[in-house]
Amino acid sequence: MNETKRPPQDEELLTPQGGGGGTGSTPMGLPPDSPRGIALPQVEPEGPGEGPSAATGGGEVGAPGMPAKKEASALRLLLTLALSGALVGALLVFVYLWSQPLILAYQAQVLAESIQEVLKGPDHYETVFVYEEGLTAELPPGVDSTALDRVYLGFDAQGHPVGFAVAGAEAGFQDVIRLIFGYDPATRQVLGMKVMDNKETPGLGDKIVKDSAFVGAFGGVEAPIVGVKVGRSTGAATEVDMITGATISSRAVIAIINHRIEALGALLEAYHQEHANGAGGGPGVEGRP
Amino acid sequence: MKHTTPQEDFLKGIWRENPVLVQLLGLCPTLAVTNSVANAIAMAAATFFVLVGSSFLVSLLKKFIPGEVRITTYILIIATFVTIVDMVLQALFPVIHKDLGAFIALIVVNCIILGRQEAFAAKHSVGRSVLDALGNGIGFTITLLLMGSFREVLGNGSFLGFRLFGDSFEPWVIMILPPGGFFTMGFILLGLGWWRGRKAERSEIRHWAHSLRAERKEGAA
Amino acid sequence: MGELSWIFVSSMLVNNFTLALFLGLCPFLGVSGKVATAVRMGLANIFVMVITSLVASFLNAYVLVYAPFLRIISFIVVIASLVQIVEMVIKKFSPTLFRELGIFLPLITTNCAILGLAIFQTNREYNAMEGLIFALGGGLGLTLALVLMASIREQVALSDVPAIARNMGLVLVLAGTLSLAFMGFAGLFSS
Repeated sequence: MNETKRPPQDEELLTPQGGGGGTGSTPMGLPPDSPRGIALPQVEPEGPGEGPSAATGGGEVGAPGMPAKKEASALRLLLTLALSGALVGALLVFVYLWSQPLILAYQAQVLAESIQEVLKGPDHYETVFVYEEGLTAELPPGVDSTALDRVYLGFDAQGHPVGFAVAGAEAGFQDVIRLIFGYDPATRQVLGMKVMDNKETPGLGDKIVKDSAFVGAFGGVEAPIVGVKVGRSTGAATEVDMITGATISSRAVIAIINHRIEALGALLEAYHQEHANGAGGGPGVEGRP
Repeated sequence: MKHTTPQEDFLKGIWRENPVLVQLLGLCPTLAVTNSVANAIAMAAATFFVLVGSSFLVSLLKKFIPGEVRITTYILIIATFVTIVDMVLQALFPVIHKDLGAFIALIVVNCIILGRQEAFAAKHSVGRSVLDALGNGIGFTITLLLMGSFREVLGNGSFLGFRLFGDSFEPWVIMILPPGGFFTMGFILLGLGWWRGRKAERSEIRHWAHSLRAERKEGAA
Repeated sequence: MGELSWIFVSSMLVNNFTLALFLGLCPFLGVSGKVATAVRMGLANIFVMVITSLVASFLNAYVLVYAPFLRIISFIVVIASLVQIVEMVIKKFSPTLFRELGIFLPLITTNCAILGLAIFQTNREYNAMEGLIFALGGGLGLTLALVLMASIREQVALSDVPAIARNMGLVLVLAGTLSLAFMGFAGLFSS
């Protein structure tokens, strides 16, 4: 907020709507070419110390300026900014405290539903943290879990593990694609895939969510997955047909899954074998319907 | 200063001085989030709230804001409203929030809002400023709806998600892609230019006929 | 292809700030009348975007972890202030450079490309290096779009254009055509 220390003449260089007003000031006509000419309507230099005479493209040209305070003192400027900043901050904290639980609750609900979907309806699941080169459902006390990578282990009604739900995110064509997939380390099969967040091109790239053949192909495919163009499939258990016209997005989805399995596969397998004898359903259980 | 009635304050923003179609302000959201009617409505509603809220607050506080820091203060006020909208949308309508993404935050730099503060709210009464903001908000909403319906109907063959055509309709995907936004806006402006040109021509003819008649009358006398 | 070069090419061509994301449309329509002006505007843009990216990385890493609700406000206020300081420094030490770029800086600071850059960078969780590459690519892409548009408009100014098209409508249709052409860059990555 350095404006407070600047002499008022510099005001002309400050008007932030200048960039936008440039087009607005000369409605329907091609704006003049020189940058000076474009900025002119807003960038009228003010007499030092005078109340600003604002003349934006709105049509109220030549109206008397702001309250005609002569050279407000630096202290007053600082006070105004500090006071408004404090008020604004307080208001935002209030709204934040109200909205945050709702947002987190929604995210948790979406996550739970997605886990149900990609693990084909497990009886319950538990969160397993990646901690110090291993997987553990129970962290030593005092460890902050928020920053830890995690997977979700689903169990059937008898308490046998059915597979892990693993979330992953990587850049797609336009923006980050976030997805979650089910993985059974015993058979090295992907159980299902659900894209949770994407900004891919509507009508093309967003078929990774809407194309049921593509999404369905991830049920039962073996890792590491190989993406093939439609019609070039050799029938191998590791192949998924990519979507025509959305090759980049399809390939991104496959890459996210492969990378995550590559990184965590061995850990998942070890943890799975440990718990395969039905020892699941320990204290970390959550998500039981 | 030109004196205006409250009705004029309200009405001018809707058509005659429409912020997007006439003043060409706020083009970023107009082009970026109008690939479906639902997105257009959500964006318009969010902007509407920020615009009316900021205009109200700025006109209420105008006496206490020194001229030198007014822009900073306006931005602070606008950014606060935008942050509130951002958090409220995320809490109550998470799906809409996800669709609009970063463009909610970008309402801060929507030239329409700051423009109205600087050009109107900073020197008019609270009531007038709110009327002005309402008018401009409606003008913005109309434009977004126009763009959104045009693009969704042609580009996706649907309106608000309802299928309009049979399976034989092949959607013009290009309309919901970025170039479609430029083309739609471009053709709307070209159409407006044509309409204005015709109106000007007509009024010229009328004017000419009138002066001709007056001349004749003079000659007769 | 490496992560960094992908970010660079993507932000410059495939997801061009102006032609694909509609960011920075105001200067794109307002200052694209002459090529010389467009080049300077573009350079000033690259400059501000690089500063913005660094500031946003810093804020994200050290300040906004504790107060995420201040993200929008702090981005806009801190970036606008910082660019003004830089502008004053340039004005003092290099009047020539100031004449070339200076008058554009305040116009740029609050255009959507700058805030958009900061917010996209945050949403995509780029680190400082990736953010810098993103800003460079985005700025170059913006400059490219500006210069292309200005070259076309210099030609249009000499042509016999129908009366109804002598407004922004024509420029937007031209922009649409450019945007269509830029979509072709997606092909760089499909083979």
